[in-house]
Amino acid sequence: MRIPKLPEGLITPFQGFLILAGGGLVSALLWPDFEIRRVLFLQILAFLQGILALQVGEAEQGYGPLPPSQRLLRLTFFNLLGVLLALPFLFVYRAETGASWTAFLLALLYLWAHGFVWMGVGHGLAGRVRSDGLRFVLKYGGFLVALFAPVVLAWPVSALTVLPALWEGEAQAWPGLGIYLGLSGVSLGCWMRRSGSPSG
Amino acid sequence: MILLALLWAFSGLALEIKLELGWAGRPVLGAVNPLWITLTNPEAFLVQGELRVSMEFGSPWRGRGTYTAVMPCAVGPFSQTRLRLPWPVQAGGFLLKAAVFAEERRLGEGELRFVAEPEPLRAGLGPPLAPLDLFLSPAELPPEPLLLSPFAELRVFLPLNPAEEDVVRAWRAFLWGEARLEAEALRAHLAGLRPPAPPWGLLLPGLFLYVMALVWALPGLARGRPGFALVLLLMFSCFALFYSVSREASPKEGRVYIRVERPGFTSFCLELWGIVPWAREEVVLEGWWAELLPAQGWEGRDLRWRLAEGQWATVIPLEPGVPRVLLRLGQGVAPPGEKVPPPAWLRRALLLPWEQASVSRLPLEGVEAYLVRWP
Repeated sequence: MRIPKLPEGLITPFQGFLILAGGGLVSALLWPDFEIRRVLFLQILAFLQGILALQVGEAEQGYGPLPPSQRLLRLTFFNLLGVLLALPFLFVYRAETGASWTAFLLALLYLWAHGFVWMGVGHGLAGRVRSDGLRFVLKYGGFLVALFAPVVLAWPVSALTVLPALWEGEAQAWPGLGIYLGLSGVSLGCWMRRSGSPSG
Repeated sequence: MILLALLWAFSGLALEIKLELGWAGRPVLGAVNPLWITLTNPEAFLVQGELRVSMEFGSPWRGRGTYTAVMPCAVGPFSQTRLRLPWPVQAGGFLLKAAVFAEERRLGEGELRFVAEPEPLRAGLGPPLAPLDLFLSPAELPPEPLLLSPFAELRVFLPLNPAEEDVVRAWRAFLWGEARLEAEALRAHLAGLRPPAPPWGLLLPGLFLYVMALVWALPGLARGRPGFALVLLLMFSCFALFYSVSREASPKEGRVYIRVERPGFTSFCLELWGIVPWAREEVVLEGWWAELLPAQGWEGRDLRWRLAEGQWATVIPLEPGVPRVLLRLGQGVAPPGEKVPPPAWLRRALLLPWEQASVSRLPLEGVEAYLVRWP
């Protein structure tokens, strides 16, 4: 199996993700307050990963005509690449916050599902909304609303609360994990149904 | 009648549980009160199970916590068992629940609604020779002096045997006010303890190298040469995994232990444990410990006492960065230590005649431990 080629336009987003996530880790570890120290990096990571996923999804829309199954393979690989780039940071963070290995693996699973869903959103919006300005607003506005509105409304579905809750092994993380796993499953199902027709 | 008997038989409740809290049924706020639990078995068979007692305390603005005690129990046919537990009463606690379970099947339950006295009681030991709140007979005097903490005054009107005298002296020395404890000063010291810092000399260059190496290697993925980037990623992930595993053994909390003794005056000593965790975990202390709560921030300040093989253990669920201060009046001999001048925070945390006291550092691993002797 050939490893998919990264579009040129995605090199900078991946590099930016890596640098900012590294900076986020150091900031979190230096933070004087224990409560913030335990969640800050995860929140930064969830935010950066969502942005990266939207950009990857959008860039893939313009990456030539490919059959849906091949497109899906590429998106899955780039999503995995984002999670793998954060993996050394997460290993370090686990050691410094004393999180369990189970929590660590669940956090990885959540990050994968979270990235996959927002990659799908980026890809879908790029195919349906032609106006650059409107697409920008819908893409980043939607992501910010999905990230911050549940925090304001105290719904346990925002990545800002779900990822730290998974890290701490708290039961309140389950609905959020379930939603993102469910959404990635639904998107995967929709994609498979389309796999007969070529994609743009 | 037959219907009632049938209902009783099928309800599965074989035990009657009666609760009584506080001396003369008057629990005192902020004190460790005696809790009497009477288990009555009206059946013709032995009932064995696990007794679980619980109480919620606190308020929405202070935060809520739960105290739970778990112990095995057995009641013979047509008989009664009476148990006494030390039970701290905190603001916002007004309902005690107890139930006996056998393999998760409820055998009996009981509850007690109470109103706690805001002020400590004045008690007398012996005949009622003075206008006091209540009088105890020497037979009622508990072997644990902590159960006398609801009293602001304890007047003795008759001669006591040495063991009883010892208990009253322990109350006078550690609970009545001869030595006073400023838990806030101890909490401030605990809050100042830091976790062992990450090995920055290794971590920072490692992270910098990783970020720079991958930033440099990522364009290879766009040129169809992913091998180098993936090898680097694998290599740094292995280093990070090794780092993560090697840091497992680092201490997960800071601990302070203080033991105050009055040799020649009482055989009891005041023991204090201060714990501040860096990660979420559960700590188990041998013996029965009560917590000194701060004015607020009670959320999650749960304690679980469990009795196994005749020994109490206190289970403390810890939240990162939240200092907990626990106390008990124990007995026993401390290991020898090296004499040191009392640290400033210890002088602030313990108010006693320091000019007469001597302080030794106890050799307990991973714990900042002091023995304070005061004649």
